[in-house]
Amino acid sequence: MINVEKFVRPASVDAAVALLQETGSVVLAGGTGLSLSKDPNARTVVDLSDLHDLRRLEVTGERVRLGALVTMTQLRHAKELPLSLVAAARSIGSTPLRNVITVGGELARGVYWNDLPVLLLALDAVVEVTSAAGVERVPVAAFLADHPKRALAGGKLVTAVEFSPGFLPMNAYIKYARTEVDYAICDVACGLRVEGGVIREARVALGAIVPLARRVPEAEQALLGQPATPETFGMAAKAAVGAVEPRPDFRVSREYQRQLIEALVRRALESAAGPA
Amino acid sequence: MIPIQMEINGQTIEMEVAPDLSLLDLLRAVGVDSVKKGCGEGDCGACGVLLDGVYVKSCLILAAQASGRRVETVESLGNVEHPHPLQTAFVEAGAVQCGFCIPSMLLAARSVIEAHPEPTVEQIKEGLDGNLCRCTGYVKQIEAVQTAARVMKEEDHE
Ligand SMILES: Cc1cc2nc3c(=O)[nH]c(=O)nc-3n(C[C@H](O)[C@H](O)[C@H](O)COP(=O)(O)OP(=O)(O)OC[C@H]3O[C@@H](n4cnc5c(N)ncnc54)[C@H](O)[C@@H]3O)c2cc1C
Ligand code: FES
Ligand code: FES
Repeated sequence: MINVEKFVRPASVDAAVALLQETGSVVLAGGTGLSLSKDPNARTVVDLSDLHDLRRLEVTGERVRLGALVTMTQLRHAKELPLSLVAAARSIGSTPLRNVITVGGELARGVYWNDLPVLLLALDAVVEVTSAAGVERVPVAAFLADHPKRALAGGKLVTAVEFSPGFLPMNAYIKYARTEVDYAICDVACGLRVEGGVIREARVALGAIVPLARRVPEAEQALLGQPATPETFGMAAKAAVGAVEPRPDFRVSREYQRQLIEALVRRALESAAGPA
Repeated sequence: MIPIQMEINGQTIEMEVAPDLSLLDLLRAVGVDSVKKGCGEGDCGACGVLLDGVYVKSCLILAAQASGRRVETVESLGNVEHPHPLQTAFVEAGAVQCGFCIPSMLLAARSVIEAHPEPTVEQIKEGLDGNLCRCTGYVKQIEAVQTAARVMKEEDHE
């Protein structure tokens, strides 16, 4: 923030997006990532804190909409959200961090330890991205695939994220870390739709053990059309190990990481499916 | 330089700040040195303040970001002549050793009691999870928060 010359608090999303057209404009949400940034190119800080509409968490019929400024504390205490989402929010940082960290910041930051995107992948969420050209709706997987910086290039703003809780009604999230407030060593989230005992839709997502949260299609394929049984879950967990090259992590060995992926994917699937 | 104004413990200040100045460094520069700089990067919790009533880490808030807002530090709780029930409970429980973590620990504790007037041990642990204490081992602090919550409830009924 060393070369910043201006702090602005636009009063509308349109005004914010217009400001972001200028080179050197950066978005400020919770500030837990941006405040320590040494980016010498940042000239104007576009502080979103007056965009009160973006703080709204709405549950309407089939759809959940989380505004980009919804905090982890809001999610943690929300009554109408999937428990896996509440658990993911609770697992992030500590109380004074959760009080400020936003949904938009979790998606846009693009670091391996961002926990929320892992769960959003498992819920098949869609990111609402607003630019001067209008509003785009981008699946979370596509938003993350090439790094969020690319998805947001050209002065775009995350304005919300949406999902349908009924689409993958059985879901679970597990964060594995050394302490409750530490960065994850491995995150796993999964979402399932089971009809007549057979798995019809499946999402398996990993975080922290990979450079950026991603789905694991090989594990999802191993689930589709199969009975929702411990054997199937074990096969999917093995498929996940075969499909993913763990990120080097000084805290744990490669062998340990592989065992973690297998154990955590299996446990997450069993937990999503509930007691047999 | 960025022009800012904010209310600190009831007093309004106006000044110009460098764009990368943190709220923590601003507070210490204007003499509010109950707010401590342990790590400067969001880990230790010694810099906790209430920003518009919300408990946050002031090392991760830019001073310019806090412009137009209300900041409260432990000075707003009480003092030696008129201690807050939390301050009394911390002293009586032996929940204070070196004291470095205590100003923000008290603010975190106040937020817990505000959200949960009769907090469980789990709720206290969660509310204090952003505050490292290298001396006490936390047990006495948890007891002190429970005691203070009881006292505050009784005072409410009087
Ligand atoms: C000590 C510490 C521990 C942490 N532990 C965890 C953890 O365990 N798990 C975890 O998931 N996170 C953790 N975090 C938080 C994480 O590192 C990021 O700081 C956080 O996700 C950023 O959210 P923010 O709202 O504070 O965003 P900011 O810091 O305001 O912004 C972060 C980046 O996203 C961009 N941005 C923000 N919002 C938008 C938007 N709406 N549209 C476009 N771009 C946007 C900003 O320009 C910036 O580049 C931790 C942070 C700290 C300091
Ligand atoms: S100084 Fe350590 S958390 Fe702020
Ligand atoms: S009393 Fe010394 S750090 Fe807490």
